[in-house]
Amino acid sequence: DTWRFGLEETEGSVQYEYAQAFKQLIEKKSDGDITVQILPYGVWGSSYSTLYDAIQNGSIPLSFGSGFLGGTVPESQLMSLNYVMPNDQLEATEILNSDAFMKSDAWQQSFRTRGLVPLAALPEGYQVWTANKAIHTPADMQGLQIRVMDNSLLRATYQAYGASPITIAYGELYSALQQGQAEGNIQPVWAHENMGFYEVQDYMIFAEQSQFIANLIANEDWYDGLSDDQRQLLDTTIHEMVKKGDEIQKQLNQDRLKTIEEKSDIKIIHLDQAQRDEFRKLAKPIRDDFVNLVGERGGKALDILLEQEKARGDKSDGDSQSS
Amino acid sequence: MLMGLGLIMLVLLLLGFPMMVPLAAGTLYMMFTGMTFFGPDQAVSWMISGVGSWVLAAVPMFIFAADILTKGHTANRLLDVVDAFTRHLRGGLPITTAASCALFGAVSGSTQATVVAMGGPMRPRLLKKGYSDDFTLALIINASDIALLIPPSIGFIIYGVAMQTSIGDLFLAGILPGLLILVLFAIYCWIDSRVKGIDPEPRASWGERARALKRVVLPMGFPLLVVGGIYGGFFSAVEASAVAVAYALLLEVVIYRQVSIRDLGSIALSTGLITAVVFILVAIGAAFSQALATAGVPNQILGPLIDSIGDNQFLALSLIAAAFFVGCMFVDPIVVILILVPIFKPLVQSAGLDPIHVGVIVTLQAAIGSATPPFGCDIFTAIAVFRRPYIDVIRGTPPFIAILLLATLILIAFPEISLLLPSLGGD
Amino acid sequence: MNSTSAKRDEQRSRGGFLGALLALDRLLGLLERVVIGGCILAMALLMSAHVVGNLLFSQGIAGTYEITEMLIVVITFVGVSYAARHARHISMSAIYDQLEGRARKALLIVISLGTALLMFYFCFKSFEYVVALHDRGRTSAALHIPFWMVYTALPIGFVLAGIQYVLTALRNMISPGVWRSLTEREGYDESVLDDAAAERAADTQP
Ligand code: NA
Ligand code: NA
Repeated sequence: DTWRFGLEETEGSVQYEYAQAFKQLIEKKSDGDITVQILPYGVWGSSYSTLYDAIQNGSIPLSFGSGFLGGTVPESQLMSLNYVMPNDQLEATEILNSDAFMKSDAWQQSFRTRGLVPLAALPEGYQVWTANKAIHTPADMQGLQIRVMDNSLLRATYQAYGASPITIAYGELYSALQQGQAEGNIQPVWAHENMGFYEVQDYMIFAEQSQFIANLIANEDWYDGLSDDQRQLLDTTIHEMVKKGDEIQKQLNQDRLKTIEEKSDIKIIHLDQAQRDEFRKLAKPIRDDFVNLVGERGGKALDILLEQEKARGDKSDGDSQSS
Repeated sequence: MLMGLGLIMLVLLLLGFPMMVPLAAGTLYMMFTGMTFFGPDQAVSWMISGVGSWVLAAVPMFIFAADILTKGHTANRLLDVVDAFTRHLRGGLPITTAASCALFGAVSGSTQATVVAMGGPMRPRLLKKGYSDDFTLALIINASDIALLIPPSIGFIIYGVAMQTSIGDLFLAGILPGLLILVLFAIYCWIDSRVKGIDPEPRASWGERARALKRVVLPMGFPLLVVGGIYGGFFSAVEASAVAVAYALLLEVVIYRQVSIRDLGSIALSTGLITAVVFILVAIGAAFSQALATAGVPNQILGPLIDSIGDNQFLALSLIAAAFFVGCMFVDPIVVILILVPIFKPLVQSAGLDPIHVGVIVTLQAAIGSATPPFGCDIFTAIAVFRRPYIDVIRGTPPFIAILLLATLILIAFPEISLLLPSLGGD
Repeated sequence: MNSTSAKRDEQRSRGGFLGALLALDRLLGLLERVVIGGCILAMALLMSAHVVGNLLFSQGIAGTYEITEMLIVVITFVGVSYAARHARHISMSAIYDQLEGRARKALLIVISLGTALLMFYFCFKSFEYVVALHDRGRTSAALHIPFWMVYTALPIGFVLAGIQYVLTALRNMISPGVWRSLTEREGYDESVLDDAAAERAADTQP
């Protein structure tokens, strides 16, 4: 069999490294019965909805779907809510991939009613802010024309922080930052590096408000049609990949951050817990917006996520303060 | 398989089917023969995403702005001012035509609109003066291509987005090459009318020139507004196209009162028609190129070439130029830029080329290719606008294409011509 | 200018089948014109307002991007039919131009019917796609507009274009002469050339 695996990113990305490792494991374990064909961004097309069409109609049975999946699976916007995950990246990865969350009815049905199955979550690192001024508190963000995707929840989140979110096409973003049309930007570290956005920004701010999370998803008919052996092979491999994915992500973002620091004199700011709490307070009402927008099933998934954090004793500085 | 694909498309094309048919047939052929694993459902998705792109909004908007100016006073004012300064030269009338196309190109973003706006009024004057229709049509088509190099330019916007490079810098980079081509065309026009023995017209008085100049003060606000607005961070290049529409409306509806609100409906309709004719090819072209990509064809053909070139800059630029030139002979430049730029991006990086310089070369090739037989889209524009047979429209093009290829060599050999202005204007 | 009035005269004088076709055709043509012209105007208005909003109030119009993209899709696919009606689709006519009389007419009928076939196929495929999108419930990210509503422009545009091409073939079968579309007779424009020649001749007269 050939398993086609669609990526939202090009070669050298987190998704690509993950897919390579996944391919090796599957092909080795299946003794060559299964070949994994990796289809990076550009090969299947250049607009994400085309990729989601291909997963939903079965021509690409296995794929990643991240922040662009919102129109296809509204509940998936849970992943772009701010301050709902633990700060620790590995811990967030483990919670998202726990059976309690991933196999929950709420999460599974969110995808299955759209002909998809969620298999895993691959966090690709913190969403990091950049700007031409230092940002420590929401006051520093007042009126900042920060670029967000044309997405109602993200817009609401940054409006809650006091910013003036602005929509700019990805392709026009570099120019817009350079000429000052946009004054700030939100991307994972690797994207800041990859697209050279850091060249035209002065500050890089780690607020740890959210990670860039890609969902590993499968076509429902394809997944349910796998033989028991094959499904077990897939499930165990994905399970093994949880930790590996975290390592890939951390390594890649670390390397890219080093490149950014070497090539520019961008100043890096890490918000401390008190500063993060100011933003956290402002972001909290957006959780209700999320539930109003996507419905109760999404709210249920959010509750499960938050419960899991609590159950783990929560090493984060979340709602149930501890450390 | 590849042979069969080429054969089917060629036959349908030569029989005279609308170009969307061979493109669609090629796409479906790849799907039904299993060259790509995608089925026809995906073709629909590709078509939609091929045109459903924010960046492409610049195309109808610049055409709309240009259509408003054509209907109104601006086009004639630009013609008059160039005419006042150049008509006494030998070859003055064709030189006026070329320079007016460049000037209108600086006001509008669209070559097609330039063919209409400048070619429309100039062609009868040229014919009357005794220039042949072959020469006249070829001159109009090729001079309109200067519009693609002089900002604002749809070609640069699409390239800038596909290459992820500064559109503002590309705009600046296109100015000198555009003027270089204008000078080369003027020299050719001078020689041509000397050979044909066509006498110049009487010189315009300085008073006449001053009056003509005064009348273009407001129209010349276009390049300032568009380029300045992008450079000042007031709006993006795509948004600039809407600003151009707003300024065109201000000029023609409010200030000159040459276009009434009621006219806007019919202008919008004709803009929509041109847009649709091009965009259905962009849509089906996107499906075709995506099917081709999943079938691995571009890599089969270009991959070994790109590998063997490595970091030889001259070879790399020549290959890029050749690929875009050939591509635009067959398909609309917008489609070609969208398809080929991602394929050549790694080569640009590995050869250490300046993406701005490459952008100028690529856009120039798009301009040349689209005025080159067999299928250059400017030819079809001219056929549609002037309602002349295909053969008549292309007969006079070879000298112009030769000049443009010469310009390409000059621009490859002297990157400074492209890079001087951006280096002055940049941060 | 007088071609439209001539067209109207002709429509009045012809009854029956062709008359009914022409009436239907005019109605569809009106619909296309309103949609296409309206979309261009709406796009210009929306984008300008977005820029002004950004400049004056640091606040653009939410959803400008996705609505603009939707408008382009509608223009493109409804435009397929409108362009077919006015015989404006780009084609390579070098060989066709060489043919004359019956051969030319025959080739045009083949081209029209072949193109119609493709249009109907795309209509069918895009209809399936729209149904699938409806069932999957995909919506846009900013304004949550169901995509199937917007993309209905595809099956509609393709079916209307298919009908246009069938009508063109029919017209060529019924009426004498070569017709590039239902209402447009084929011909090149020699008038500019003739005028120029006449004016030159006049200039050289004493
Ligand atoms: Na231009
Ligand atoms: Na051109």
